[in-house]
Amino acid sequence: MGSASATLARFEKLSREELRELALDRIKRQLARVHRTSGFYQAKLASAGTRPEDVRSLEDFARAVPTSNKADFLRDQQEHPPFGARLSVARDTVALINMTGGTSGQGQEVYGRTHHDIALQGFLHYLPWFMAGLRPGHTALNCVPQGGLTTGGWGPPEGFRVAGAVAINAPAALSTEAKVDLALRFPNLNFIYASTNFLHTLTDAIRRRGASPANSFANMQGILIAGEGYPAAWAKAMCSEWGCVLHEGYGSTQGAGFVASTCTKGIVRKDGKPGHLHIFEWENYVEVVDPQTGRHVAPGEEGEIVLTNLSVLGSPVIRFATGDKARFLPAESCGCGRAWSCLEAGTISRYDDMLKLRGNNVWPATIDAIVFSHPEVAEYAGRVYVDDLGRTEVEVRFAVKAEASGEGAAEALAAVMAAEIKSKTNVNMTLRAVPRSDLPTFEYKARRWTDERKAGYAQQAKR
Amino acid sequence: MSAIDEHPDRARIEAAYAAAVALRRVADPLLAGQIEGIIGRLSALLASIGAPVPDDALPQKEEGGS
Repeated sequence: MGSASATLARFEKLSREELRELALDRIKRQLARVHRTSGFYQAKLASAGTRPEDVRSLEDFARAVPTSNKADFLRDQQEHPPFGARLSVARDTVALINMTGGTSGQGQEVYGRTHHDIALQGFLHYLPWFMAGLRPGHTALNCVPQGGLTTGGWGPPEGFRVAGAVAINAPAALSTEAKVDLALRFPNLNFIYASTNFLHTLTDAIRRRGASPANSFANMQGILIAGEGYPAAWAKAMCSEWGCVLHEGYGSTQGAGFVASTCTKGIVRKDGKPGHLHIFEWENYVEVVDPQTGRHVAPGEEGEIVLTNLSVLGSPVIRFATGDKARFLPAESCGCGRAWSCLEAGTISRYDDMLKLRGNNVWPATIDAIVFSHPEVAEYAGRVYVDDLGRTEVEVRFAVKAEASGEGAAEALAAVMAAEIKSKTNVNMTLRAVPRSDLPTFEYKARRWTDERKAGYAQQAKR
Repeated sequence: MSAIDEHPDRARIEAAYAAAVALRRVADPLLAGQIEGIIGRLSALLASIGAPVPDDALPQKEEGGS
């Protein structure tokens, strides 16, 4: 451990029992508060016959407090616009509105933030960056689109202010090439914050200029990625491309910032273990549950992240079923000495990303892991469609890096990857090598998969 | 929770917080937002060291609203 912060050092030396006690104390306070101030949570607790004082342990909390989900929040907002009855403060104390991105297509959750919450958001963004080595005076490139409505847009600039770092907030409107130009004007960059996908895109763009990221930015202390899962082989390649430690954070609007991040060991560890994201359990209480049964999963198993804000005031979430999928690891499995429970790096994805292909459940992250385990692949895009006979077909187009484009190499690679995909997913997919320019460049989160089956079925129905 | 209770700067931050809350008596609407911003920063700072969020972190009696 050996944190440079006395405050962080105190959380680092808490035993598991002390940490659970602290979380329970904060849960009790938060429950009592929202029961007093939020019609939504009053009704939620009443539906289970639970009073705040019934929660005397974390086990009671999991058993007696029902979960909420996005649909519950959207319904509440419709009935009590705009914030919903879950707003837990007087409306005139709301100093900022955050909303979720709306990428699910279901609707956007609305969050009222007080001054306290805005400051907390900044801190919850800085916390993982501090753990990744960002210090006052460092120069940092922020590649995540800023401003707008989401916490992910608002929190990072606030986090860099809290850090006392010099932030270069790359405008979302800049093309990838313009962002590379911007970064190269600051060769002494110490830190990069980017979505998983944009780090991939940025690296690809620098390499296409014939440059090496590690040589271009010799003072890089660390890179922190968030937002999407990735294969271990890809993370290893990024570390070697950039010549620095790669970190991952897990956060969300519901978490009011980052909920967990890697310790100094980073994602790619010398001991060969998977990266561990340590949960900031005194700020957000995290449960990983089986979405079918609601029971906490065992160490090493995957489940849904259920989130409870412990010190957010405006629109706190209490046992919010996020739809985020991750593998739970116990605190001691990292070996760094912190008693904070962990999520396995690279495993966080969305339950609703799942594609049902010929009776098989396939997650894009599985295909990412196979395709990007081949370092010669630059990018890929997948398409699910129905053919003229109404059968589901899957096409994966991929592009190889310039130096790997020898005669016959792409065809051989296609055959290898098709076999690996079949073996992992039980689905036959058609793999086709295409020029890099035929594939999109993803600026923020990668949307590599399109499902055209609905349109295909509709078209066939017209015949 | 002794490790949290013993935070060496907790008393100092709580004193600053109390001083900031006292600024509410300024009661100038031009300055009210800035004052609440300072109070919010200090209450978040207390939360960040593991101390409870103060009950008077918000300017009015708390009531839910939509």
